[in-house]
Amino acid sequence: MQISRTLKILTVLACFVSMPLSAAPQAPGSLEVNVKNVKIDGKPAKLSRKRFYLIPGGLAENSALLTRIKGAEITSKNCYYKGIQASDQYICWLQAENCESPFCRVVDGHYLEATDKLAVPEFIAAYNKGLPLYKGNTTIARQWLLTNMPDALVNGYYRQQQKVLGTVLAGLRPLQSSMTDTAGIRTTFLDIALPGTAGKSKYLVSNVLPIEIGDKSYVWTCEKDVETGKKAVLDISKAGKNCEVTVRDLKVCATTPCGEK
Amino acid sequence: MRYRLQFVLLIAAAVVVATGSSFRKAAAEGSLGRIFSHNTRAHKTGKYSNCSSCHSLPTRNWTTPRRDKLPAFPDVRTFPSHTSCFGCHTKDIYSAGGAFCGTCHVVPTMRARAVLAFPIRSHPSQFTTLFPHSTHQDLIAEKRNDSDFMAAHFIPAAFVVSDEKPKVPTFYNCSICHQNLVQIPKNVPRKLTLFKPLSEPAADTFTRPVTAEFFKDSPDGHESCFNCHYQFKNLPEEKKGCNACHELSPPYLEKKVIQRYSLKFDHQRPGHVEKDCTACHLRITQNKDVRAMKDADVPILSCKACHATQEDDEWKHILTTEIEKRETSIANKQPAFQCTYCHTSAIGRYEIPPSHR
Repeated sequence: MQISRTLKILTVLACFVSMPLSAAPQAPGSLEVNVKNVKIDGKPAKLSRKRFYLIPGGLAENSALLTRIKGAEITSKNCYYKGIQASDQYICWLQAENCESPFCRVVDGHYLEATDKLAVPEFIAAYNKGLPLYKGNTTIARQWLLTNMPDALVNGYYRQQQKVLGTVLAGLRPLQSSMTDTAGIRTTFLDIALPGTAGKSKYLVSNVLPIEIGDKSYVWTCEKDVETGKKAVLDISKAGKNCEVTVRDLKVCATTPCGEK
Repeated sequence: MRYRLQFVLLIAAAVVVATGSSFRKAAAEGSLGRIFSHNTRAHKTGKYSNCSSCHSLPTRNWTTPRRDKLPAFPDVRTFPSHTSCFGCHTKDIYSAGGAFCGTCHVVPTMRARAVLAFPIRSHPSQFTTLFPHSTHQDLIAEKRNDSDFMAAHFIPAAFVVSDEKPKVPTFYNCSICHQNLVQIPKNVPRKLTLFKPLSEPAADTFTRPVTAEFFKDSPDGHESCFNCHYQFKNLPEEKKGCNACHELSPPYLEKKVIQRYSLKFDHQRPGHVEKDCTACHLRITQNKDVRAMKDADVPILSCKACHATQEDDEWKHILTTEIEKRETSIANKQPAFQCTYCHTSAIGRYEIPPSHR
């Protein structure tokens, strides 16, 4: 009795061992997206720190996404800040270094001096709000300015961008997203696991969120084959049949001319 | 026969349970002192699911000098007050000579006054840190000045506001949290598990002596986070609490040891220092959870861009040169050449991974 049970167990184990293994996973591929040579109206467009998304399938398979990209409602940075009644000085502070939010750079002391022509009322208000909270510690009140500013001024623009992103993607889940480097040369998608056993598969690369350059916005949507174990290179400056560039005019929201830079 | 087996299993289970409970007891009252656990039902449910039911931010002692020598800033600097404990633990205070008091106090008696230094560094951590690099990368500077990046890694106070009008703006970037170290940290080579060593360890030679600046720091407290997130500001609605960054985990002892494949890599070396961090840390802008980071996050692809080229300078093709030397040594049945440009012998004597070729 016991011997037959042992035999049964051994038989089951043997079946497992002799079962054909599923095909070994293919070596992942990678895709370098080169943005260095992109030009707008003949001038180099530095696509620095821009997020690109990797989506399975080519342009044809993702036509619905392209339609949404073309139809997305876009509010420019200036219009957003104008819309929430940010002061002209605040908008100028952002514009001076092409910042999208105050997370961009350190607020220098003179922007907090009420008598300075560059003084930003929002920063001064946040500083004054912080002082009593930090027992009069001026250093902390200045360093932690962002914790005492209204949410719309600090995070609002980012949240709005994320909302646009969610609407355009409409539930589509990109495989990866990656940002271009500060020099505006490239970004790389690594470890792309190709489906099936084809050894090659088509992918879409798009910034999805329009990039503001001048008074226009740009979305690059390009397809590229990725091969197992190899690095593919996509140069979006060489936009041909494999690329769609969506260019749209941005609504202009006039802001007061900024004195510096 | 069957009963005997059941009996053996029962005994084994009893042993496991007994060992586990005695281990917990030893951990709770042993050489480490009494350890408060955040991970009990009573401590994490009901009103206690809200951290602020016990912890206050800031604590009243925040202005006192800090153990880490940083300038004082509003922070959680001591244990919760007695009212947090007494509601449920009044009985415990009056038993065992007040041993319970030793959870927070220097002397475990009812007359105890002084409290232990907070947090107790010798105790295991009970929380892991959540940090989405991807979101932070989206928000920090779109543009930055090259000279600033090269020369001005932020000082420990992190966000610095200068009184003088600076010539160049200071952009927020990776150096908000990751600065050059000032002392050489404990460092060890990473363990290679998938590859075999091809020769015995050899004495290491260094063309550049390893200095503190080879390494970067990581945040170890609230100081850099609070610049933007003090009292849970600038966080998504559902994350406005300690849970934005802290998640309960099985207790673990933090290791302050930097592990590297390439101990000879110098962040400050010309050729490296002027590069954008994301030029090599390719996965960092994709990383939504710091706990999911893969190794040092620098794929060999980053190194190849400069060190496996067709150019004449030796260091520009050093990767391919060392691979050739390895292959030649093996073909000539000599001891396997050890890769030394980036690696110490602890790594350089192992098989060459396919990714390097």
